[in-house]
Amino acid sequence: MIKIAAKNHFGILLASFALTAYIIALLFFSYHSHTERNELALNQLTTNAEKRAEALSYFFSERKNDMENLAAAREISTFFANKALGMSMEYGLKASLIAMSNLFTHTIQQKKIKIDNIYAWITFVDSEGAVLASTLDDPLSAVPKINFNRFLNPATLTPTILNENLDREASILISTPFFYKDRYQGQLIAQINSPAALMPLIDTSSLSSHTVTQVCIATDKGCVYHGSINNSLFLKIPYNTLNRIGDTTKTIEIPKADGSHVEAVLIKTQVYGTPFFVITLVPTQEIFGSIAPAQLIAALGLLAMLILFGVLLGIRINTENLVLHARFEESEKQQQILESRNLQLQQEIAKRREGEQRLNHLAHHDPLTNLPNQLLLHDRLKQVLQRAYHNGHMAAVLFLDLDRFKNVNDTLGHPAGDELLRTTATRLMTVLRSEDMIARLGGDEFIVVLETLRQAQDAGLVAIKLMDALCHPFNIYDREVFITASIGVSLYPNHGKDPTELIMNADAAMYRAKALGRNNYQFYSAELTATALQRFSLENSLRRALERSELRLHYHPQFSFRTGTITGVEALLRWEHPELGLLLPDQFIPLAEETGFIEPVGDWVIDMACRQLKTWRSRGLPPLCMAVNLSSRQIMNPGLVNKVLKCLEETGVNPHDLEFEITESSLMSDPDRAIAVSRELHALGMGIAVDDFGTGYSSMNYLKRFSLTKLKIDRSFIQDLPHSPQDAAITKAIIALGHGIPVKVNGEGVESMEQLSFLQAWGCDEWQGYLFSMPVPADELEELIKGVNALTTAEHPGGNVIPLRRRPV
Amino acid sequence: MQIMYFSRRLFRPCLLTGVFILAACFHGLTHSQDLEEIKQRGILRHLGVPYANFVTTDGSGFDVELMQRFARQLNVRYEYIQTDWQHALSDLTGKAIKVDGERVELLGDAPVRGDLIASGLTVLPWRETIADFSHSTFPTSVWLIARADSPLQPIQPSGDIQKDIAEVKTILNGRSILGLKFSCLDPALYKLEQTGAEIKLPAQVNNPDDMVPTILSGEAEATLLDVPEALLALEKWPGQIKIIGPVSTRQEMGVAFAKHSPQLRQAFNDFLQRLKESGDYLQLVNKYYPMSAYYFRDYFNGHQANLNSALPAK
Repeated sequence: MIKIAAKNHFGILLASFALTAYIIALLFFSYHSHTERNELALNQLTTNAEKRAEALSYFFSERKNDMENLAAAREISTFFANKALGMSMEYGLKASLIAMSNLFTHTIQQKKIKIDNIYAWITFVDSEGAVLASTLDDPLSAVPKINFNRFLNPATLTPTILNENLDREASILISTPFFYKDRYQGQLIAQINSPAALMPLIDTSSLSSHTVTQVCIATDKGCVYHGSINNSLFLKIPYNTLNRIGDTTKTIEIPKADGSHVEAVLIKTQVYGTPFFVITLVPTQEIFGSIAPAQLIAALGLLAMLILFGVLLGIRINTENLVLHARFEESEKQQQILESRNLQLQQEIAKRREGEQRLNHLAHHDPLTNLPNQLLLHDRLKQVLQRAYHNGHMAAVLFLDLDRFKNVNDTLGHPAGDELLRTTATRLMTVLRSEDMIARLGGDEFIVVLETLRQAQDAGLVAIKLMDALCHPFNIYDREVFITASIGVSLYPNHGKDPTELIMNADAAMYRAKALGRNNYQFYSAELTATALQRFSLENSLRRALERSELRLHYHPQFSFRTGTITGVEALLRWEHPELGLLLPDQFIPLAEETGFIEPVGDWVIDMACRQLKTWRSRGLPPLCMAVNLSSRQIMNPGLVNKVLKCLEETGVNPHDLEFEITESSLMSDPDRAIAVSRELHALGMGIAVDDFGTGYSSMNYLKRFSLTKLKIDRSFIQDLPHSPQDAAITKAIIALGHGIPVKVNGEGVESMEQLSFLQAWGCDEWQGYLFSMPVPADELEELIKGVNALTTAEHPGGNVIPLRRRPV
Repeated sequence: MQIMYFSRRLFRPCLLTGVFILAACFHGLTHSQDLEEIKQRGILRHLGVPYANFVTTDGSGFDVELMQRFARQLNVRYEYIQTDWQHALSDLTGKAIKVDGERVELLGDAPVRGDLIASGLTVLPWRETIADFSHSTFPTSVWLIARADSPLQPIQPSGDIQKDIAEVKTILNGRSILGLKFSCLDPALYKLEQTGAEIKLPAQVNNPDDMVPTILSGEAEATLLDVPEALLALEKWPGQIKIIGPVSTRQEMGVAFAKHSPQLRQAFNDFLQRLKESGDYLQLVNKYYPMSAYYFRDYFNGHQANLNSALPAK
């Protein structure tokens, strides 16, 4: 911008200097031109004055011709002829005089210049000075006002131009003598009119200049006829100065009526053949214009100064404008930047606000169902309780937990579980009032807060409505899923005064409902507190169980129908609780899964099983296949295979001696992951058994893709064999399926000989059940194996021996 | 506006026409045949004798133009019929006339060729016996004109016309004087034969225009000439002729009508009056006799009302 400004500034300066030079040149040439023009005008004026004098001289010459022609007219000579014949005025001569008068009148009428008569009058005066004929008045009467005697001049034969004062007025006359038969008869006299005489001077049609203001036909005695041109200002010619004017051209000061003076150029030109000269008077202003050269120079100089001043002022203003413009542009630019930043800031603020809102929403809402989360729940519940306290109302907290939701996750996968949760939330909301609140506490747990409760039974009615809302099947990924809910209800103020207490008590009540067979609701009671506390204690104990080595592995033998020997064991976890005694998996594994404690426990089981297998091998026991249950969480753990390998490496156990049992639901929770893990473990030589086969939603297609080695028929199909034809058919089908894949088939939960016989009859490969033994500790199992093997070898060499139960459950 | 315009425009002509018709009817009771006959005929016959600028040989002149205007005023066609001084009155009156000086003798019928005579005709007593004259149309008198080289010298006016006439007659003895019979230039009218002058009435000279050339040719020394003609002659032959003096008193010219044409005469007098009043008549005089207009300017300017009184008494 500054560069452009400097460039413009330099350009303007250059232009101003050029303009100044132009003005100076203009001044010089104007002055020169003006001077030349003035000289030319003066010369032109002089030339025109000479032309006027010449024209006037010609005019007078013409008038002389008029007089000569008039003198030669027949009428005058006739008169004198008649007179010479002696005719009297009365009889004839008067007629000649009339003819003469008519001639004069006719001459006056004929002789015109433009519209003006040249002659004022024509008179014939006889040699004695008497008027014979005249146009002045009655030709027969005298013209006493003029003394014509003085005009008698027989000596001058040619017409003469005279300047005479007639009746005290200067006039121009022309006079010529008349001779009849060489005898002087009188004088022919005529007065030339002023307008006609001035016409050659005034008529400027033949002249190139019209600047003349005033002309005058004058003698040294003064002006005879004068006239002005173009109706210009009349200037009184100073006749008294005419005598003193020797030069033909002179500049004089002429006083005006108002006392001021006018400078004028006076030109004096002699008229040839006359006693007159022409005075031409022109104001210098008319000649040289209103501005004199000096004035012109001054005016142009002033103009130049003004222009220069204007240019400099323009430069200054332009510079200031440029600076202002630059500042303005800079300001505008900064303002734009500021506006842009403001906009960005506002956008950022909006984003942040939106983010904060989103974060706040996320912080207070469950992302899956968009329901308030635990934090918001506590906050709102607190407010509800405060209002209930102030209003003396009753409020209720309903703790809702979906029954067997884990199965859905395990069988249909977590996406299906998530979809089920979203749909469940939607359904639950439909049955609630606007003032009620529902929140998701986590997993499949929802909390419903009922405000302004009139009576406790109303909470039960709402619980029923909630359960009814779930009674219709859910369509999850084109599958019908049935789900129920267990609901625990705690009431304010009866069951608690603060949110935590109320939620906890509702939770306890919910567990009570679960314990009572699910799909029901229970109000909190004081007893439930103890149970809840017990569960809490158990959870805490479980966390310390590993540290305290309270976990044990019992082994449930698996028999081969072909050999009748124990070919493998299933490692089953037991918790030797210091206070509660030996706890079965059902009593703490769900809690372990809920708390996530299942993973370290699972790892411990694998490690322990491998070590035990090593121990058994070291003690000379026959090779056994150690079956270890894998939870879905373990399968999802990407470090599972490495851990297993590490155990194998540490214990030196043959991978072929290790088998992992995975439930159908675990396999189907994430089939791809399960397929990958199964293939990897199978590739390492380990077996993969499907536990509780037939109770889940395994797809035959997946069975093909899993690298399975065994199917374990769920005990629910076994327990009514052989009497239940359905169970028998299913069992037979599973056996046939397993052999078709082909994998081994294990029948679980065999508790009777009939069951054993059925399985054997239909070609089942292995069996496992209380018919022979409950799961036993490792040392007991050694003895069992030794005993069974010894018995089998002694009594039934070659196999197909069914060992009997040795220990009741 | 249109109706008013036509009304104003037509009112005066209609009024004049009506007055004229009433006047004609009134006169028609007593003198009905002259004017009515001309109008029925549709032609005004102008008897004229070529004479100076009154009637020129080419059919124009002061009286010709005057009669043409009169015919237009009568709304009849103008017809010029040339005659001579000897037969002019016979052609007008239909009577053959013998004139000797002032004595007139009617000889018998003659064809009537015209309705009026206008040709610078001077009103003379003998003419009035056989014809009626209009109001005066031109003043005149008769002068004696001589050649410049004639021994006859112009008289010095005495201020008395009768004395001047007498003085002229005193110098005529033995001089040859040219005259024109049947006209105002007839020397017998002025009894010049009693002066001892030699009266010459050559037959070939039958027009006043021939008088000056006749004396210039030397056939006579002097001639009678009426003033209008004399003034023209002075301009025409300057220095060759001179006016000696008067032989008659003031005379008037007029238009001659037949005695049986009083309506025509009256109509002409009315016409002449209007012409003079309008100034057109003076323009006509100036056109043909400018010198006379000045010479008789008292007659032509402002004395129109007394013209009739100037007429000689019958």
